[in-house]
Amino acid sequence: MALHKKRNGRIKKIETGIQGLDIISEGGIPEGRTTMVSGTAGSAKTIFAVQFLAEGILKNGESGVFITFEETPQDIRDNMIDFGWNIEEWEKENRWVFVNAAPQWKDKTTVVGQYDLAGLLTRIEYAVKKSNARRVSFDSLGAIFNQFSETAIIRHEILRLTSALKELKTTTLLTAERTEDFGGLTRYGVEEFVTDNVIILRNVLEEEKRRRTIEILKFRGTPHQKGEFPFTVISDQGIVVIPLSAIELKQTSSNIRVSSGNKKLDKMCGGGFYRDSIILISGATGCGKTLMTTEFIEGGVINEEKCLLFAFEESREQLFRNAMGWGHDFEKLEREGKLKVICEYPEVANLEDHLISIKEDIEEFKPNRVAVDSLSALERVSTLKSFREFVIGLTSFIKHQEIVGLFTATTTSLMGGSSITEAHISTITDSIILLRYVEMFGEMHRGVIVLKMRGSMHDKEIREFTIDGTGMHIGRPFTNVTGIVSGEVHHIMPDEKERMKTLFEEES
Amino acid sequence: MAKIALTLYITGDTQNSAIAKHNMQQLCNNELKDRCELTVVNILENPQLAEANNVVATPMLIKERPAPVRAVIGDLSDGEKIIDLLHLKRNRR
Repeated sequence: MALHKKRNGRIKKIETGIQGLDIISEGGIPEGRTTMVSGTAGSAKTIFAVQFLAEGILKNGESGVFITFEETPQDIRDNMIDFGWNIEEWEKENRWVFVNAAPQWKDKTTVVGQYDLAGLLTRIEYAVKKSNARRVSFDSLGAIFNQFSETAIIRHEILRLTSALKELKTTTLLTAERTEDFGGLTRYGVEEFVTDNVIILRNVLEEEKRRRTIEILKFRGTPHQKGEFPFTVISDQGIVVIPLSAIELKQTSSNIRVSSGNKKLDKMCGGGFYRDSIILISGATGCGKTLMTTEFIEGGVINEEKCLLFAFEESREQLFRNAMGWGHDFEKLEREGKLKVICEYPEVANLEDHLISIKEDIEEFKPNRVAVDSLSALERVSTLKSFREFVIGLTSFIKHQEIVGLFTATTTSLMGGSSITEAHISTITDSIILLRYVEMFGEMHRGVIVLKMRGSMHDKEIREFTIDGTGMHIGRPFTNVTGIVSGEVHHIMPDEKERMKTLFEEES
Repeated sequence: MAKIALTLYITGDTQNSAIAKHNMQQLCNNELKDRCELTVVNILENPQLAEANNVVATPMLIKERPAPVRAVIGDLSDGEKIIDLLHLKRNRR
């Protein structure tokens, strides 16, 4: 969509209908050709092969033929119903035809003399013609080598098969099993037959977490995006690819300001947050991030804006009680449809699934502002790479909607320091606000600073703030203290400060 | 006694198919004379009939009766072997 450039190449593409895949493939897979999908066991090859046909039926009204070498048609019908694909119904309508090539006999078939695969070929041709199919899926071709021992014959026959499909002008998808996620393409060297177009699915175990990615290795004679993209498999939808590189570019920026919910903070930011910006609030535990989030929501509600809050650290009850403590009745706001609070444990899903459900929630509720408290909690359930991709995916999605997003990040140390979240998203966010504990003569004080405010003047001073029953109160800048941001606080004697001041004045 | 029911799936007049058909007819006229009923299915003409037994490789011979059902693929060039594989008895000479 965003990056989908139409080129006048001779090779046409057919949109797969698999969400995100048509973006990274720049329009789909080559039409009338064979594309190999290779992956290890459990890498979602069968789902891919089924979805290719299902989306063709659902979105383009194109019928398909599915040739299965491993699972029986009944297994496939049963396994796919959860994705919302009623294959049995399509079969009745002649939009889906199975060619069952799964081994029916326990042992390898007994062989006496010469044979070929003309039987299979005939059945496929018959099925394609009968249903007027435009799409064909083989799952998985490699399994045919388990049925027959004479590999030389099988290789020769597969070659015949692929050329026959070319004649039929169907777009063909062929899955093949590989033994490792990084290594030889397929177990039986199936790639020898279809070298033109190769897609790789990976399911890698990284830091005890599974990470699925899809990579288009090559499309002969037609462009596609390079590298691995994360994807996930969810019920009712099947495979959803997250096309990171494609979503970053189309971002508008507006000059409309919205209130942070705190007048003093608005002033520090030069008049409030920009409407389609992402704000990161970073600080140690207990220093006021959730309060700022609460005020941010209140600020939206006052201006008749709808707010959506994702809470990954606190329970609903806790959150509502806290808000009530500061005088904000979240329950009432929810009833009035001004606010929606979604509380979830980060552990309930992987990050790719979280991203998709967050997107769906945003699309459904259509809020004017979104808050995530906290982003760091999501770090726990993923690898660094996935987390980075998640943050990029989420921020660009929020910006696309032209709404303001506020994320919180928890720093690991009480005084100063930075969080992984911060390191990964600081360049993506438009504004960064730091909350810091400041130790002064045996007392803990709190400080706030607007570190970054893209495209705007902002207060450069570190101000002290207090929290009481009515909320957050920002006061005067700290004087005679340095090193607050780094966490190594030093107190400066007033005369020294004076001397420093004159020093700079002389130079400038 | 019920006759042995054999079905041979072939694909037209390809070399393998022609040889298999010839071999089976020989077998039924000699070793299994009067005891078997051979049906030859040309799946180029009747492709839907190939679905029933998941025919993938051809030629393919299925012994439908007596149980157990057995399958052999190839041009069936070794009659003795087929009789053994299908667990059939030869006619006494």
